[in-house]
Order: sequence, then structure tokens, then C-alpha cells
Amino acid sequence: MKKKVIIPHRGVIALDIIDSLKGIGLETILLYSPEDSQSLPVKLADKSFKFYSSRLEDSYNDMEAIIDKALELKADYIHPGYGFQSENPEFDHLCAANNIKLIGPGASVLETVQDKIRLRKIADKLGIRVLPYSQLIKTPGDFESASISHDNRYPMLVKPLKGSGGRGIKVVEFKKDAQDRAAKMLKREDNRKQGLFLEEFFPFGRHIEIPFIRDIEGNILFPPEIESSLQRRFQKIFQESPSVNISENLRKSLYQNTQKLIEAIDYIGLGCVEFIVDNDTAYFSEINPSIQINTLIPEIHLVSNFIKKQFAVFNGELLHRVDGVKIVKPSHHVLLVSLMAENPFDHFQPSSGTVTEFYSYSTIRNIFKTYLYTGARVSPLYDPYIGKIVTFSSRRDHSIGAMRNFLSNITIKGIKTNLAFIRYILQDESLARGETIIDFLNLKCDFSRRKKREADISIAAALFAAAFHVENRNKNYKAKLETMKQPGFFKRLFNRM
Amino acid sequence: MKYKFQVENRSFEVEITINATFHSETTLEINRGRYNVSVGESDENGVKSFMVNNKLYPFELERDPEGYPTGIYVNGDYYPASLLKIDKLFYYKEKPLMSSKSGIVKSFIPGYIKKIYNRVNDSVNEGDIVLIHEAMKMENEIKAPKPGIIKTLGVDEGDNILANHLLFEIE
Repeated sequence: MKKKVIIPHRGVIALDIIDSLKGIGLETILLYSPEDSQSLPVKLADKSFKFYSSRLEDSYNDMEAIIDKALELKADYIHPGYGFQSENPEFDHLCAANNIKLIGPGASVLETVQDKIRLRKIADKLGIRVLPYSQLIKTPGDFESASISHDNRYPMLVKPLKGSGGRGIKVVEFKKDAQDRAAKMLKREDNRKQGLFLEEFFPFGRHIEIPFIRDIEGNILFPPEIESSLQRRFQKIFQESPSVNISENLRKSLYQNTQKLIEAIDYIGLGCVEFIVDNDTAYFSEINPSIQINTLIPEIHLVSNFIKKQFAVFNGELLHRVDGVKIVKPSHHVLLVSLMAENPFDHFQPSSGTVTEFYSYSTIRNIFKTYLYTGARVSPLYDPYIGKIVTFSSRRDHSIGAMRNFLSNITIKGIKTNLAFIRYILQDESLARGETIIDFLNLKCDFSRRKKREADISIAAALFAAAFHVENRNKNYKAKLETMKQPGFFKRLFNRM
Repeated sequence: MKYKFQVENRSFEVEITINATFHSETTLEINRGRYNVSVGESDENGVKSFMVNNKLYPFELERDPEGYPTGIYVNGDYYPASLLKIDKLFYYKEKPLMSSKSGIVKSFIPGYIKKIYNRVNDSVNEGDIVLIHEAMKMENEIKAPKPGIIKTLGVDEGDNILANHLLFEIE
């Protein structure tokens, strides 16, 4: 009998998991919320079951409901994807108690990784330089004693202890600001329960990630590093691999530190270690213990499916052709951008609705993963993330060119997307020079100060005039038809003649 | 017809003959440039794209809740746009008529009363269409500015009226 895997997820990652695990002979069972009942994952999964409500805590975050369904269907595995409950050790405990395997690094690792302060203490003991951080803040009174080492250098970040996906992180510029912000954030119950902490912020630094897979015998596969400095509201917009901003020595030390750390916490499976690099000094930041949006980048470097790899390693298989530590040399320069349903012309307001028209044209050098199709609905309830686009080429400038070219081949109507925003970033000269810093979007490339070309404005004007004229004409024509349909119209016309 | 409009805070004027359907190529003169425009694709909802100088441009009009165009998306880029005048007629002139809360509704432009939906003593809700006022081949839906009962109706179907003529009063 086929083994069964439960996928309580939505969007692109659900599609990825369904596709990959179907390919190795598993029966894929999707759990979806009523809001997503017309989405693409439902169409592709072997079987789909609906949650009774669209609220997050009653659907994708409802651990009991997921476990109940898994028991009812006698499922063998649950793949949590990313976000939702994927980084929650309690969920792993619950699965283990019910004899279901949760695909991931296991509860003990998740517990260590989730607590960012504890993880940094472990890294510190191993001799890895960690990002300066403060003690835990649980009440506004704790703020006074919370300090980063001996000098509090601003700007700093206020972060929830167990947050993920960039949610709830705020930049603070001075002490009063930090105090107010912390007090405000502590009004939320989950922040009060977990606590907050302060962290040094490097606006001119770079954000480097080292993806890895480690099997039960301790063999480690290291794909090339990923630079994801360009972030908007702490969500990665543009990522590239390899990074053009780190030296060979630093790269080596990043791999060594990653190896030391994941061996110390006995991490088995797929993950990603984040570092902040400032002036050729790397500071350890955190570990992402699940599959990520940017897992697509190592997949391209290795031409291999990492969800399948993750599944194999999880089941105790050894990594193929990896003996000890294998560091993969980059074969291409890979770029990844995140497509969001946000309106860049209106303060990045999330946009929802029905996609009335969607088409694109791909080449051999790009991959476009999205759950959109003509007629798809983008729900206002969830993250505005709608897809990712990868291009790769042997040279960085060619990759950027290919990406720009591909973005102009995409048409999405009915919802607003950040395509224009990404296109604006890609044509920036400082990006072409590789000056990708963490605060790039504020310091180097501000979308609100964008200039439009005169020729484009004239064309827009021509289109606007023509569109209005035709619409108005059709409206009058339709009105005329309506009057003709009224009884007695032709009789009156005849009489007048 | 002469259209005057704004795109990206720049004002433009263009003349389009009233019969132009853009099914065959029509030349528009904008900003001292000449643009040959024809319909690219269209469906039951209207035109989806135009051919401008032999390049296809898919576009989408952005509208405010009342249906007035406020901007245009071309190639994913957004241009704020608004129509100012058609011939000598101010396009936005009828707008304050709808926002007036007094209950007395007067015509702002001369025209023709095409259809009346609500008669005297009918109760209406805010935003209900009371009558259709046609001016310069443009049909304007005249809506009730507040909920209430129509007390007086100053016009009848088929009337030709001047500006500032009482259309109806709501109490």
C-alpha cells in the first residue's frame, strides 16, 4: 500500500511538496481551508480535505485537527512546509505521541533552534562570533536591565524570541523609541509569553545564509551560500547565490562555523544557517529549521529536488555521493525574486481578488513557481506571497538581464503585484555593482523617488484617451440598444417617418 | 471630441472623432507626438489591450467606487490619470451633485432626462439611482444623496433641461 503524507499547507510550497512526494510514490493528502477550496494545490493533490473554518487557528495552525485527520486516514507522515506549525516543537511531540512522523529535524532540535537566545549562547560557547543580543524582556520593566554588551549602539532591532518569517521585527533608532516599541509589542499576549530581545542592527551589513543537509551518519552537503540582504519589512525580496561580497576566507569560516554548530546540536535534515556579515566579520544570527522559499536556489546549483532529499534523509537514507563534508562549487549565478500581491504604488497594501488574466513565457534559464492561474483567487486572509521566480546564468549581469527580461514577459491582471517594484530594483546601478546591503531599499534605491520616462507617459496618455473614448462609445451604443428593445420603438420610428 | 486629461500630473489634449471605434488604426496626436492606435484584444467586458505604433500594450483602468477612471496600469506600471474635460464640458462637474447631503438635487449641465426610476412618494436609499440625465452623449446616473422619500420631482422623462434646474428633492 502507498504510504500517506498529510500536507496542511497552501500556496507554492504545498504545490512543491505535492509534486515532489507524489513523484516518489506517496499518496499526498492536502488539508485546506474553505478559503482555498479553489486553489491549485487542491486540484493537484491525490486527496484533499477541508478544514471547517478559514481562521488560521482553526485551519493550518490547528494542531489537533491536523492530527485527528491524520489518525483517521492512517497517515504515515506530515510535511509541515514552512511557516505555520513547521518550527513548533510541540507539534512534533504531539505527532510522536500519535505515532505519526513529522518531517523535520525533530523536537529537540526545534526547541533549541526556536529559542534564539539559547541558540546564540550555544554558538558562543563553540567559539562562533554571534550577533550582539540582549537578555530576554518579558515585562516593560525588564527593559532597563536589557543591554547589548557594554555599549548600546543604535539602531537596534526589537525581535520576538520565537518569531519567524520576519514578523514582528522593528528597527529602533534611540533608547526612548526602543522602550516605547518594546512596551507596545508586549501588549500582545504571545509576545508576553515568549518575551522579546534586542539585537544589533547593521544597515550596511549583508545577510548571508548557508543551506545544508546532514544525514544520520553526519555527512554534510553544503550548497553554495545565498545572499539575501535585500529585504522589505524583513521579508526577502531579492536573493542571489553565490554572494559577490564575501571573501574566500570568510566563506570557508562560514562553512566551518555552520558545521561546528549543527554538529553540536546534532541537527539531522535540511536547514539553513543565517549570518550577518559586516566589514568582513560574520556574526551568527539564527537557524531556519525548515524548507525555505530559497531552497530553490540550491536545487538549481545541484539540479536536484531538495524535498525528496529531505524526505530521504529523514527516513535514514545516506546522502548520495557525500562522504564527510562536501562543499558544492556554484555552477551558475542564481537569482531569486519573490512575487507578492502588494500594490507598490499604494504603500505596499496587500491586494486580493480574482486573477482575470495571467500568462507568462519561460525560457530554459528561468523557473516561475506560482499558484496563480486565470481565475485563481488571491485571499485577503493570508500572506500576500504568490510566487517566486528564478533565473540563472554563468554571469551575474546576464542573470540580472534574464530576470528583467522574464519579468516583462509576465502579465497578471485583476490583482496588483510588486512586479514594477522588482523591475525597478533590477535596473538599479548599485545593484549591478553588487552593493547589496541590508538597508538597500531605504538608502540606495527608494521606490517612491522613481522617475518615469516621458515616452512611457505619452503612451499611457494615448491608451487612457483611447480606452475612455471606446468605453464611452460602447456605453452609449448599449443604451441605444436598450431603447430599441422597448416595446413600440419601431412603431414610433415608423410613424415619425 | 476633444478630451482634456491628466496623466502623471501632466495635462494632455487629444481630439478623437466621435465615430472612431479604433477597429482600424486611428492616429492620435499627443504631446506633439503621433500615435497610431488600434484595438488589440477585446472581450465582453471591453477592450483589454491596444496596439500603439504596432506594439501591443495590455492595460487596466483603475476606477474609484463611482466608476470614474483614476489611473491606468500599463505593463505593470501605474500612472495616475483623470479626465478633466470632454469638449467644453467639465467631466467632474457632476460629482459635487452626488455628495450634496441637502436633499435638493439640481442639474449641473444642460441635458435630457432619459429615464426616471423613482417617482414622487417613493422611498429611496442613499446611492439609489433616481434618474438618468444625458448630456453630451454621456449618461449620468443621478443618485439619491441621502435616504428618504422623494417630495418633489421637477422633471419628466424626455424633458430637455438647462443647468441648475431642480431635478428632485428628498425629505
